[in-house]
Amino acid sequence: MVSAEGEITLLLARWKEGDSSAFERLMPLVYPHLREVAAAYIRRERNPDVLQATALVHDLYLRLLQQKKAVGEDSRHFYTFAAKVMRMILIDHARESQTQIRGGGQQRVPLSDDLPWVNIDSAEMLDLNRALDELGALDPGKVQLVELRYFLGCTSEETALLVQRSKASVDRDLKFIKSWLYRRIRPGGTEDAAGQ
Amino acid sequence: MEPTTETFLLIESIFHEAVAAPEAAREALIEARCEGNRSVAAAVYSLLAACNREEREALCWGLIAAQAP
Repeated sequence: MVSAEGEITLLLARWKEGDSSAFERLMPLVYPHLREVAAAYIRRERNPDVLQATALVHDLYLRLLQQKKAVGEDSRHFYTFAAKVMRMILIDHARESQTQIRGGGQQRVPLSDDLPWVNIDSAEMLDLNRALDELGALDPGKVQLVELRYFLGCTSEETALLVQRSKASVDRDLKFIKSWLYRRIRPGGTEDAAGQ
Repeated sequence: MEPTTETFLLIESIFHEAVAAPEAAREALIEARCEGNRSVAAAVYSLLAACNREEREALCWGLIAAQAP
């Protein structure tokens, strides 16, 4: 019988090779842990003293795989996977927030300091999710950057390391992506060829 | 209208060139690179406008966050 750690490693390898069913099977193994990370992520925004989500995911990776060092391919793919799951969790969180009746004075929590116009508890998150699905149909690599940088909370440097590109190239892509997303979420112009 | 991946990549490429160019040279650059394709040019202009609006709004939220207790 394969241990949970062994199964995670195996499924990560299959997902990495393009087996999308491996992602579905990984989810129940990792989702509860990442929900805790997401809760801490939201707390971090409200309290900067709480650990960063990336550090928590690093700890989670070590715990799940019981390795002394998280390096190399497996680590990179785990972060990519975790970022995708964090997107799902934070979107679920936004959906739940939308169904609850809230009183006034709810504190605004930005998804990221670099994307402060998206409030984590708002319908903007759901708009963002839809826009990312559309962006993914055109260029899935750009969605991966958004998931790592804004949903998992990686720095530009960490994101560049994980996608094995230069920081300058990642920053350049993110500038375009933010403009594209902003136009999708906050439309202010007429229809054009970029899909507005 | 949803763009094809090819059109999307062309728009992105022109956007990056326009951002890197001096503001006074942008319009000529976009017109030259779009070669008469008005919908691609409109997409690039629209993205540049969104880029400015996004940066302004991000700045405002940054100022608000800095003033929060």
